[in-house]
Amino acid sequence: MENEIYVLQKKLKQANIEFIFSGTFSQGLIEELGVALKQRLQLQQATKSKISSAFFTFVEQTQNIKQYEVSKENTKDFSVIAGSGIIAISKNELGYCIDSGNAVSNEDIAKLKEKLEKIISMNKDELNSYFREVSRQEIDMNSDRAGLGLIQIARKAAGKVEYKFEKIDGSYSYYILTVTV
Amino acid sequence: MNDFVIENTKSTPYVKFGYEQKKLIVKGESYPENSYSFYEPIYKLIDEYFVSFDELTIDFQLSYINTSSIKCLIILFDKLNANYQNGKNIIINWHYDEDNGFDYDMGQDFKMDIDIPFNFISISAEE
Repeated sequence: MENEIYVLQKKLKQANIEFIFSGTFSQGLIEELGVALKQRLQLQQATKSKISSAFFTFVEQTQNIKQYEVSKENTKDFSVIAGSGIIAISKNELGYCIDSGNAVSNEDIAKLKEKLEKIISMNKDELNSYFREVSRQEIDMNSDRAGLGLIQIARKAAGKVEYKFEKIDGSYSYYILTVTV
Repeated sequence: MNDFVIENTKSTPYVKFGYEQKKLIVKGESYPENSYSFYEPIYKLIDEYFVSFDELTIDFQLSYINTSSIKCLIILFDKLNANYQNGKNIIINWHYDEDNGFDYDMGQDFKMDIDIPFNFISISAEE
């Protein structure tokens, strides 16, 4: 039997994954990974606009995952959600693909799906005016931050944002967001 | 009055309030964990500043801003705009990198909601 790490590494290579982290995100880790990501893309001579879009999406997604995990502290969901985060960046024909994933409580899916569907249905002009509308509504810093972040990700994306919920069991699902920049 | 300076970190910009030059500089990247606790002292300084001064130039150069920092900057711009409407002399210079795209677009978003003169300055033209 082949060594598991070797199998995993071969799979990452096949999937063209350049950069991956799985586990719990802290602010310090997000900063370090962000710097490493930028350097990696600079080495590949990616344009500045691609680098800043990739970096933006990376920070928003990892901070959202972290925020979600923190919001579940001291709840029954924490043991499943903690450490379930993943972020992966791969190269494709259009540019770079940023995939992120984390376990979510099934109770939270409907609200998230509604936001995602609304954003996906909009063209860039609609997204621009929706961004303005929500950025002013959300001045209350305690309000749900994922809304504005998703709109901004969609504005910067090269194509449509894609998402999927993989069922874990009756209580949880694995939420995957795919963004190409 | 001594200048107020915050050195930059990976996720927070360099900030300098120069009382003699009547200038506020905000330069770097902004994606801290808690944006509000970073920007709140700056709001206070602005309030205090306009009690004794009538003019201020603000130079922004932010290559990357996360969404919670965007909200904090909207609060900051609203505050500046209120002072501008009360007769204070304020100019905003938004320095951007032509190759980035992100920073220029952000400036356009902010500019739309305020009346303060808002200049876009390409950093490649400055070099």
